[in-house]
Amino acid sequence: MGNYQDLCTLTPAGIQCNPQSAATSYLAQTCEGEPEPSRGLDEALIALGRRGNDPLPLLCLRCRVSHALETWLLVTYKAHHQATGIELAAMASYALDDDGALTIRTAPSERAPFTYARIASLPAGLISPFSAEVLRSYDPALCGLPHWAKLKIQAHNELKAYFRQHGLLLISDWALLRNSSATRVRQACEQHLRSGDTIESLNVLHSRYGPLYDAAKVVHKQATGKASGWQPDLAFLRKLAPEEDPFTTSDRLKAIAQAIRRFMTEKANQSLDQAAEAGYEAVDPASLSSPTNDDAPSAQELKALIDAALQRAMDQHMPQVLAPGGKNIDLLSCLWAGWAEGLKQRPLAERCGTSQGTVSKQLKPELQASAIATAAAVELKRHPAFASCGQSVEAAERLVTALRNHLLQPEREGDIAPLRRWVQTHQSQ
Amino acid sequence: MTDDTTPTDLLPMPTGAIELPVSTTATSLRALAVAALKLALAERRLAIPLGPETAAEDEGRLLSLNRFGLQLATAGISADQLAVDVTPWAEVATAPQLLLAALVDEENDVVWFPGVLTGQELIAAASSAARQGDQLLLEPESFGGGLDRLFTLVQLLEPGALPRHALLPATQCLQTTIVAVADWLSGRLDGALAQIFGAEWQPVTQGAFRSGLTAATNDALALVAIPLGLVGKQLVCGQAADECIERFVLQMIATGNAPFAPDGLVLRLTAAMGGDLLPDGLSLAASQGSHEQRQSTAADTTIELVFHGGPELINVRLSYPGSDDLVLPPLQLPG
Repeated sequence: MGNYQDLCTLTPAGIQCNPQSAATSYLAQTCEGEPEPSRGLDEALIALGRRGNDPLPLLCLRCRVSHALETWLLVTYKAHHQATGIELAAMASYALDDDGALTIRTAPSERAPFTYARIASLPAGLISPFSAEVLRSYDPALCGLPHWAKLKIQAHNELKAYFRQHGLLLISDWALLRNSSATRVRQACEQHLRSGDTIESLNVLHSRYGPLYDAAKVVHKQATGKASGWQPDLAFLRKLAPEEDPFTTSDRLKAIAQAIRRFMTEKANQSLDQAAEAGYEAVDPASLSSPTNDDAPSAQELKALIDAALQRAMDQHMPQVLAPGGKNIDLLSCLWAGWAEGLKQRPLAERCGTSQGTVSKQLKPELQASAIATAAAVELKRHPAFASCGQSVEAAERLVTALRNHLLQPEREGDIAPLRRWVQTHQSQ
Repeated sequence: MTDDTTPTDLLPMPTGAIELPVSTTATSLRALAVAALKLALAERRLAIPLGPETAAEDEGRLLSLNRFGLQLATAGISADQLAVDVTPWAEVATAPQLLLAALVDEENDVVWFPGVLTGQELIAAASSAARQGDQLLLEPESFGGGLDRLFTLVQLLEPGALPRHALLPATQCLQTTIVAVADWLSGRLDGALAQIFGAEWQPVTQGAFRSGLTAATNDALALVAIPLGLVGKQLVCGQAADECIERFVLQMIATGNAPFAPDGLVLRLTAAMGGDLLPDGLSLAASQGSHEQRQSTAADTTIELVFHGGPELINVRLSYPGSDDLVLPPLQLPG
């Protein structure tokens, strides 16, 4: 109810769905009874909007689009907010920017009636509000309007960049289908298919999809200079399944993609559970030297060798990491100082006034520890006690892993891990 | 079907994934992966040589990292399979020492390196992986250690510590393997037959059902089926056949009157979907000593060869015009 009369908009108080009296009056004249959301009514309003110069059919459709976008935003927010810190208002600012005005900005100081003819005549590229972009690019032959709104928001480059900042990747159905093997498609459909199609027929459709997608993407890249934003058009769908209605083909592809997403989500949840159960086993680097003989160095001597090699590697490597120059120097300094104190990602983000995504991207202690461990191992390899590391994959990996863990884990409870201690000392100088 | 899994349009960025700068101009998965590799070297401040200096982005070209021969295999970021070109692995002289996997999101300019395989590890992985022409299909999970492992190996190891290995063609690996048909009765299937040809042991009743045959072989004791397909004119088998539009099955049915002693073998080629026609021109040939049988398809739904027990091995070959022959390891019935 209210799908065609209430417009969901981002306001200073959050997302609000406000009644549009002009839309209500228009629908009261056009429809008998309460208008139920349907593809038929969408198409009728689109036809009315395209036929004349009345902005009201489009206003009803803008309301309809805003509901679809709001639903997608809420589902996405709910799924990822806790783990990544994404904010609903930030996401909504890309999608729900329509205030319901019956005019649209066509130049910095010019406005024109918000009609289909007007939005269709605006130059290519993202136009504001986002609902205008959804409506002007919509082809009813491809899919329903709510689904089109979802596809368009998934292709929004700025929103994608926002998600990327928070460690999330928006993967389109079309890329997902291309990247899935026949085996995955079969398994996903067996477990999660929600359509009347047979798995066999969907597999055949999917097997035809890959080569056509590759060819279409080449053309798209040549035409736009971008890898993103491709959507299958009617010609593509007809080529993919010549004997079938393109709308049906599109629906079948979406059914496969949806099954794959469910399959992958389930698998990812299982992997997280398994990872949570896995433990950490510390290895003493000194125990990884070659078998001892009478002339071999003692454990204390080996430890001294290792500590010295690690210290030299940290002295060599870390100053450039902490002071790389550029505009992020203050942020980096804050992040490393907090990390050295033992702060976790969330409090670290709060202290330095940034997002958790930025923390994980800017602060990579594990990566730096690996680089230091490898540099130290290269030095240690020259000592006969560690010479086997140059000859054996297993020995090389065990040594570097042990050195890396040694850098990041305190030897005894209450101690400070060597890399944290190094950063603390460096920051206090 | 009830389903409580809420699907998500977003994938978590894998740990260690590399975001390329907006200014990146690379346009292919390979070029993006090479750019990410260079960025990772810079980020770690590693001054190790990566070559070739020009045309590293050319598909199929081997890289050299700190004097180690390196092959780069790419796929999309959400891929569950990487297709590895096995051409360089045909000979020891040209085989790389390491194989690096890169999963690329070209829409977001993000690259993730799941890890690296040494030549020896690739050979081991290949024994259980599906093949499609010159491509070996590996799961990203087969690779481990991310870029850290790559950088560790190329910095610490002497080049001689990573010998070059050639990957033998699947059929060549099998020439010396003999498959005992009697094993099928207890559900045992030769590893190579399963791994390389994707053969599956099936209950006899299921085989009859799937083939769409109303009259199953009356004295069938065990059934092993190899999924087959055509990619263009190339015959493929196993998992690779799943991708094909033209799909069919080679059923190998052990027959006999005594429940534990097969004394016959039926080789039956039939379409994957019951009642469909087989592609014309397929030829199934088999020989047992000097006795040879052959049948070719011409508007057929099924063709069939029948052999009886004997000391001599049964050699089976499937041909199609324009394709390499598919040669099974020799089959042995109890004498």
